Amino acid sequence: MSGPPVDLRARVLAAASATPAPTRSERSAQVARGLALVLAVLAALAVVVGGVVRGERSAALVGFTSGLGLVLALGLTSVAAPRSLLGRPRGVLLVVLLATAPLLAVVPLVADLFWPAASAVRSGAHLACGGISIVEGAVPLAFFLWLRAGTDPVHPTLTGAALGATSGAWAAMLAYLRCPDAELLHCVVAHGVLPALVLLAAGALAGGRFLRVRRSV
Amino acid sequence: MTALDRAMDRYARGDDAAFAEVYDGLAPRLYAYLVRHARDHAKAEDVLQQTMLQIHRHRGRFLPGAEVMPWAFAIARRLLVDTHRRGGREVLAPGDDDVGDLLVALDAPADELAIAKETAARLGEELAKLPENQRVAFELIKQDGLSVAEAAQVLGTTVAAVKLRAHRAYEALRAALGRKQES
Repeated sequence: MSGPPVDLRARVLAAASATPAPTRSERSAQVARGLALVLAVLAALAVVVGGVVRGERSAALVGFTSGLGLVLALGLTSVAAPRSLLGRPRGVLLVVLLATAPLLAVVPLVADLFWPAASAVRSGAHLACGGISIVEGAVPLAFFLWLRAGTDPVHPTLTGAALGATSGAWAAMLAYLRCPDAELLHCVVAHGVLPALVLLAAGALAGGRFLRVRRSV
Repeated sequence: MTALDRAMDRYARGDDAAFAEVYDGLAPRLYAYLVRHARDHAKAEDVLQQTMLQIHRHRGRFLPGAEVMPWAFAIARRLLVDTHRRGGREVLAPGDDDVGDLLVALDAPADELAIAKETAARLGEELAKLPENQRVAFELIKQDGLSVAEAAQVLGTTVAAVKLRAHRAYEALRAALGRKQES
């Protein structure tokens, strides 16, 4: 079989030199700026929703739930984050998809074992809290999608869904900081499962659209 | 780390001249893969160009120590599938041109050429009948020369899964070709 035409090489090299692409260090700087923007947006959101609100919860309960949420968010992000240019294997992403909501439900269940009285503390603002969690989770999701935009040639929808579920874990961690409601069902649904599932679906939709490798010309 | 990966690493760090090395290392294998699947040189050239430009565009994402070959194959495969979908066509089964071209180049006797072409045609038919995941794993390893680990990266699965798929494809092909020979 013959090789590629000689003039194709010249065309490709000319096209590449005509369209500058960021180097690794330039890309790292972009990512650092993106991360700073994400943190700034999350901080602004936290101010808008009242910052850290303990309410009638004990400091230990706030520390335990938000700390466990942080551990889960870091762990799931670490598992879902690509270790190569081609992302994670399908099986790993499926584990993230299937495990996130149950793990987030475990946080208030464990908290209820240690602080059972706190379950009586309720605000009644379940939908509003769930909505805020989804908005907060959308910020890291947008960042994750931007990081991987146009680069997933293997399973963009699945990757997007896994990143969405992971963003749900970050949203849960923030919810335990700002929401004084410690009722078990509220925490399971509005802090954990609902945002994780909504963000998972949003991530799947956005992943299929924005993560997919597309023709550049 | 291969010389090709080192060239890509230099390119990611900003050495623009290294892109020519990356092209020279990738293009022949990618082009052979694309021609075999597209059966159309113009389409293969187009997808090869697109693949190389994707690699250029995302060079800053190339991680130190990463492998460029599976990345390039995965991009080419995705772009080829999209091209076929856009054209409303199925992804084509591999052709039998490789064996025929090789024997012509070697000036092989006509009867050997005929037998080889017939075998290649039968192999192509049987390959096309395999489940897609087995066929693709077999092709990437046996025809495109990727390692099992590289094929696993291209397909977004584990090494064990690719080994299993390729083994099943090999067994199915051996059984099918054996049956045909007996009949």
